[in-house]
Amino acid sequence: MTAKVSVSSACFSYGEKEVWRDINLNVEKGETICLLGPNGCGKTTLLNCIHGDLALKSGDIYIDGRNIKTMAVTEIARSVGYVFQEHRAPFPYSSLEVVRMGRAPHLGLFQAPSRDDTELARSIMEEMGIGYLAAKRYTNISGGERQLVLIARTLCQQPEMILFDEPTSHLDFKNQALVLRTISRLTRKGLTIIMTSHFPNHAWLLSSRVAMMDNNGFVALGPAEEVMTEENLSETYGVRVKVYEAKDDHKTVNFCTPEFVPTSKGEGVDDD
Amino acid sequence: MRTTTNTIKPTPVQKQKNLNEQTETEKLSCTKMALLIGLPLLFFFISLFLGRHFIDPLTVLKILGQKLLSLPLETTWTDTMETVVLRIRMPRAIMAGAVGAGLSISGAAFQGMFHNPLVSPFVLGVSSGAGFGAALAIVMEGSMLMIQLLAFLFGIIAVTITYCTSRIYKTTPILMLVLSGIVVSALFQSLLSLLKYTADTEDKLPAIVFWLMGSMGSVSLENLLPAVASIAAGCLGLLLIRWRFNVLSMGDQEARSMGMNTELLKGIIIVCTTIISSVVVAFCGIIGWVGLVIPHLCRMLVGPDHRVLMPTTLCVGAAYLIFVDNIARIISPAEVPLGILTALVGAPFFMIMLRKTRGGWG
Repeated sequence: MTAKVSVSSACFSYGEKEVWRDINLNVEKGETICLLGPNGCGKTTLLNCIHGDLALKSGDIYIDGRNIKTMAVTEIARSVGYVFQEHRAPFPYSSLEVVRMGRAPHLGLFQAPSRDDTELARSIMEEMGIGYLAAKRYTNISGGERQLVLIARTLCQQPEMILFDEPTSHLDFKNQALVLRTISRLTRKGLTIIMTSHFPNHAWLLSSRVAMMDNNGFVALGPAEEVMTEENLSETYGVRVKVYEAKDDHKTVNFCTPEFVPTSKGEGVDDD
Repeated sequence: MRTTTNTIKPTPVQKQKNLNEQTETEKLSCTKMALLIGLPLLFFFISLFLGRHFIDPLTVLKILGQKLLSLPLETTWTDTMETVVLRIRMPRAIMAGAVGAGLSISGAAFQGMFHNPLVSPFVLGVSSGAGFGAALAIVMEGSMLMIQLLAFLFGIIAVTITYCTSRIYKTTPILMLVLSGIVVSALFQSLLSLLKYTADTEDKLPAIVFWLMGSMGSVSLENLLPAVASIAAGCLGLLLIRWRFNVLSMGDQEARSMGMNTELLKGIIIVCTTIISSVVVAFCGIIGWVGLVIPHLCRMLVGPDHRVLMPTTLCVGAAYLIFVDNIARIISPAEVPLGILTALVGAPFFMIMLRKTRGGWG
């Protein structure tokens, strides 16, 4: 069986500046992968490459065994969704209209969404528990709601895989929880998910596989429980990280926090 | 956590309400629709009997009935009246309608494409290019046809230069388009100034200046068809892809993630709007403000959804320009240039809107 996504000896550079090299990654169908790493290490760049927006300097990326270079934008959009990090809408569309935009890859150039498309958009919103947002203006809802609407829009594309770029940035605790819960539901439904995050704890919460990056490429790749060690985390972020384990009656929870002492590697660049 | 989301599930009543609100934005009410279509028609009819020679509405109806619908009506009017209605006022009103509709829909299209409510159809330099072309023809003592041809040609040349300059790595980023548009406009503006500076101050310079101010004066029954047909073709192109503007306005990267070939789409939009605006400038000079103000007004009327917005701009734009052209004809014996009036009416209106919406568009 071919992997859902397969990245082989990938290398990327913006002009002369190399971002990462020799990245190898296989993502199986239904798997969740969390990309962790410091700012500017190229997590989003890797997502953009997997989505076909950016071309690798060398190496190849395959989706369902097909080289991404040979796929048209519409084809990619039908199987891969992308939830972007920053968002701003210039016009106050209703949230339902925004969700419905996800039907675009399934419609011809001159077509507009039909009643069925609208119903699909509406049922996706209902299922996610955001049906109440349908008529509200996208520009007037909270950041967390906006993120959920964008996820709904991506689901409206009916993709088999979704890329999330820092889905929980700028969100408060409740909204983080809502978004993470939505993501884990999608995993249970069999969707493949690749996400970047600045919160290592989320990798444990989602019990995902983790790829840890530094400024050259992958530092570690494997299940969260195995690779999220103090050593790896410290090396990735260039700051000493403590991992804790807490137990209560039902379950064990792992979490980590940085200590405010830079490691030798990260000296001088501990903050950005 | 679980309880929070469960409580926000909508009740059936809410759901029904949402459904109603939504269908309302998608389909206009019959009253609104009738108003939107009726208004330009009404203004069109009014412009046939208003003017220095007032012709009473009934006679106008009879002339139209006899000549256009071949109704067996008794001729109770003079030949002059017939000429005034059919050969002067009618072509002019039709052209004004087409120009208003064309500029407005181009404005709406560019505002959607640039995801910015502040751009006008002339942002890529079409008006500067066309202005230069017209001035060149005037300086070379060209005929009316020559002026129109050169204006049209240079309008297209200007946009082509803008497009080619902004193209990097097979993409045309929005910021690059805007910046190259500014550069190209500046270039043609200075060339135009050079022409003005060297032009004969007795007759050429005034001709250039007057032409640039915009007027419907050069429209006749003969040149009406090609102009209106090309504007209509451009409008049709934009109307056909109108839903895509919603997706495109979310930004290039997002639109691509939803499977849209943004470069192809931008290409289509630029071609359509350039056809419209260079024909408009070639025939009527530079008529500002319509393409900026009307889309805003329409967004206030029917909301931001381009599926409804684009057809609405057509109707409102047509009505607005026929209206303003009537004022231009009537206000003084020596016609007031249209470009002055559209700004004179448009600017205060825009100011009021700015205050009312506090800059929070629509």
